[in-house]
Amino acid sequence: MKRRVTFIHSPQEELRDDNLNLSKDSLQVKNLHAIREDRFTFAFHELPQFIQDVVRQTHELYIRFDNGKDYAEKWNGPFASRLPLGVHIFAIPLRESKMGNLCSFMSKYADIPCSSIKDNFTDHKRSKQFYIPDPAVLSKFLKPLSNKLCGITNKPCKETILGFETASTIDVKYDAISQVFEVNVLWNTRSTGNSKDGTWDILIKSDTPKNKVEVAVFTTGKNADREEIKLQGHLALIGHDTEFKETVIVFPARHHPRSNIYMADFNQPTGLHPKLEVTLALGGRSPSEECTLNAFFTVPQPFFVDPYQLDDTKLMKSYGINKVRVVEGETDLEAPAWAMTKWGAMLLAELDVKEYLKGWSKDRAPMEFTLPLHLRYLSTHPEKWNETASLPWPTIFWACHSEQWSKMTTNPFDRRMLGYEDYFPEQTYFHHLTPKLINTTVSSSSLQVPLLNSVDAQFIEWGTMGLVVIGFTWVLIRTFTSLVGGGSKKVEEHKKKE
Amino acid sequence: MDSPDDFDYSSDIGSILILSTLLRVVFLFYGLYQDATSVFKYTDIDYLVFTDAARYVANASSPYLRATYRYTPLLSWLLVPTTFQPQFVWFSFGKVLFAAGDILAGYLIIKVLQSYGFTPARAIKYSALWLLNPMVATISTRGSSEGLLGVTVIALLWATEKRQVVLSGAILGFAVHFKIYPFIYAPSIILWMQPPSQTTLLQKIKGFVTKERIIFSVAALSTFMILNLAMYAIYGHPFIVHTFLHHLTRLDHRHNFSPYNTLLYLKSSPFIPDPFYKAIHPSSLPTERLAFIPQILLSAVVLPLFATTNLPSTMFAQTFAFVTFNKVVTSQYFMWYLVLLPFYLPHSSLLRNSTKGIVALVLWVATQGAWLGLAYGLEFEGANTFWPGLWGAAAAFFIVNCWILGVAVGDIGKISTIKSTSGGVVEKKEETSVSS
Repeated sequence: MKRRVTFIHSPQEELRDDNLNLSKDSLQVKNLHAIREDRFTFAFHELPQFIQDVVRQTHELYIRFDNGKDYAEKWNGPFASRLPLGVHIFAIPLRESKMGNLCSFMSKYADIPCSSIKDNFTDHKRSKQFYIPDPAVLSKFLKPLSNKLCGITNKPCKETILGFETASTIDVKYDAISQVFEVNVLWNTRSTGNSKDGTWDILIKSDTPKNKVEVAVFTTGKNADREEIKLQGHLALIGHDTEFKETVIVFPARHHPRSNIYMADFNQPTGLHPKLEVTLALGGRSPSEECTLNAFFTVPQPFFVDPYQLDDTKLMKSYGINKVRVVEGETDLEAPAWAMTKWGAMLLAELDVKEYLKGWSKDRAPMEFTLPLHLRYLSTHPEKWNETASLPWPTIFWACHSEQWSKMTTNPFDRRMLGYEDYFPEQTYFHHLTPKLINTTVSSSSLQVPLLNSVDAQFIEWGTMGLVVIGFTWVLIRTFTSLVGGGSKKVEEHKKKE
Repeated sequence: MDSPDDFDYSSDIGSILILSTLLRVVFLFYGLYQDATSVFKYTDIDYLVFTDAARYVANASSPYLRATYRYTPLLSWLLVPTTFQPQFVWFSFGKVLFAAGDILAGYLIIKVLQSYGFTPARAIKYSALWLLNPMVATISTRGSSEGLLGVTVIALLWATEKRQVVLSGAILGFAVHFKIYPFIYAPSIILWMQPPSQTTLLQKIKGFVTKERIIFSVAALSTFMILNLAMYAIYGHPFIVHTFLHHLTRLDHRHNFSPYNTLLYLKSSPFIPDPFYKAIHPSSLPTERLAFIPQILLSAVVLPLFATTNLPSTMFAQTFAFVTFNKVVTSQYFMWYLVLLPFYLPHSSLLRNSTKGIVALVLWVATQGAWLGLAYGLEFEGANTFWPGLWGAAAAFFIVNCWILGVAVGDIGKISTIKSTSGGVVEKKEETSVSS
């Protein structure tokens, strides 16, 4: 196993001498305001059996977690590509594999019902996609995982894993060609440090002489090129180096931050056809003339979108959307929530930004766009009249033409398979807008879905049956009195004869 | 009696047809205008389903590739012209077709009423209930196919009355293939084909199997089956699933006017027992299947007994019962009986006794209005009106419908009949006069 720890501090804050104290076999970090990323790299044979079982059925596997908060407003260096909050899984099966182990892993360790990949995952190009909108699933998952991975005695191991609970994002990836299993854990802003004022106070050392830890402390520098990110700072291999090495790295990056903010909320009242309204502060500019502005949604149950409605160009234009480029996943227009086995659908929309930018010089209002949604009927409940349903905010980004696209993989923080970039040409790079959390603690919006309370189930049942019996009997009596009494005296005559 | 200041068109079939055409042209163009200028579309969502399906058919693939297309492929074939260029002209072809179907139905209503001895003026007056009804014109110009069904049912009635046995059988077979429910007309038409020579019940039973009845049944059944087999041969299993099986298995949990709606929602959902009354469960009765019993008993077994008294009024009552007792009721279904109303209304006590008529109309509209208000609250304001609100409103609407149905069967039983020379039944003209 290899471990790499990267701190990135604001260029406005100079590094002080007492922030870092490197000794022969450890590094003491004190009072450091910084973003932190920990990367753990495993070879296949280093993995515990139950994880080997899962990944051996996959050609590629990506599990991504995003906590839906800790958005840095000014800079976040190479970590700009955030996803809608929750857990996103993309898995490409190896040959004909059904990836059943992934499914049972999910139900066993994360308590996520999964009967089969076919029933519960949606198709995304070559891969299978799953999504859990609730970030709380992480903390439920970490405890059984740490027990299984570390055993009962290994305390540092457990602490490391349980410490992931405060992470802003976690990326797990594996591919069968390199046979490398990688876990990236990111604490995105200074508010998530391990001491109360949001700074890092930790001792980093390698657990065994074999497992070296590489530590880098960087800050972002002025970029040479618009596609590039420049990081400068210090680098050391703990247990090997006794002094930090001055380092500057420059690389083209697929994902860049953009300080423009956005927020979203439901149009009130919501009813069964809610609309999510997103407000963007674009500052009247795009990064470059040819860039398009896009929104990537994950729409979980009980929400659904109507692809036919989204196809109506005129309607969508009136909602500020140029074109809905992709709708993938569960789009059944009628079925109730309880008949659904798949998580929902993803949606990629190109926003109508040209019109907005044209009018910017006259009217400096923020840009707005709206996504029309619908709700499925929810299961009845004896104690509830409503259920809360949460819709994650979309991620919103500019997609621009890249000159340096072929060199993007040299980025040591490169991130691929996010669910949307494969719908853009390879020659694309992205500028991500930043969610602004006002009146909410996470980047999602909630509403109440009315449901049938079943406490009066028996009244409903017998009431309905009684009603139908009364109506039916009344019509029947009227029919027979009418048949016998009115007009057809012949019938009576026949009866007498018989 | 017609008052002297009646409009000229009341004595002129051409005039009312032109007037009803004008009405639909205005609605059609208004719809185009609204679609072009507003995000609230005039065009019915179903019309988009039909035209999408027609596009699939035009590309030689299956109409069932369009989600929620639950109709015979014939409908999508009929609408293939909606895919022609230029679209701004041809897209509306279906609406024009449906509206033309409306007008033809109206024309046939006049013809059938006349064959019942109505003067042209009276026939036109009653046909106006359909031809000049803004609700009917709206529904067809929005692109709902119910107008086509209307003309099929009236054509069935017309062919039957004209003793075109093969034709009427074929129309019935087509109608059932198109929308299942017209099968309820089969028993009434068969009973109506009563040879006048048989007077006693015993004779009627012994002589039940007549040549006419056999020809009618064979024509109906073979048309129905030929169409089904042809469609199955072309489109395979999805045709059976979407056109027929869907209607037997659908969950129907989304709110609609049906009295069963809340119960079906309750029973199709997984049930979580109340922690305080763990023993209380809904029964294990298969409500969704039991609901067919009162519906089919009334509409296809009991009510057809009136057929020899007055066929179109019987068909009206049957349809009214079928819709009232259906598991799903939407306002488009009201079109199914509305097209037959001009035949029942002249005999109706609701027209003779205007207080009773107004009370019936007010109750029918008011209970529907109450339901619509509650449904609006649920659908657009998120108010929880499922129980008792929506259920209660649907129950009240159901009771009102049952009462009206009861009144109707009472009226139909009182229609006195005289044998017409052709063996059909002609009403006595002096029986009813419209009090205006």
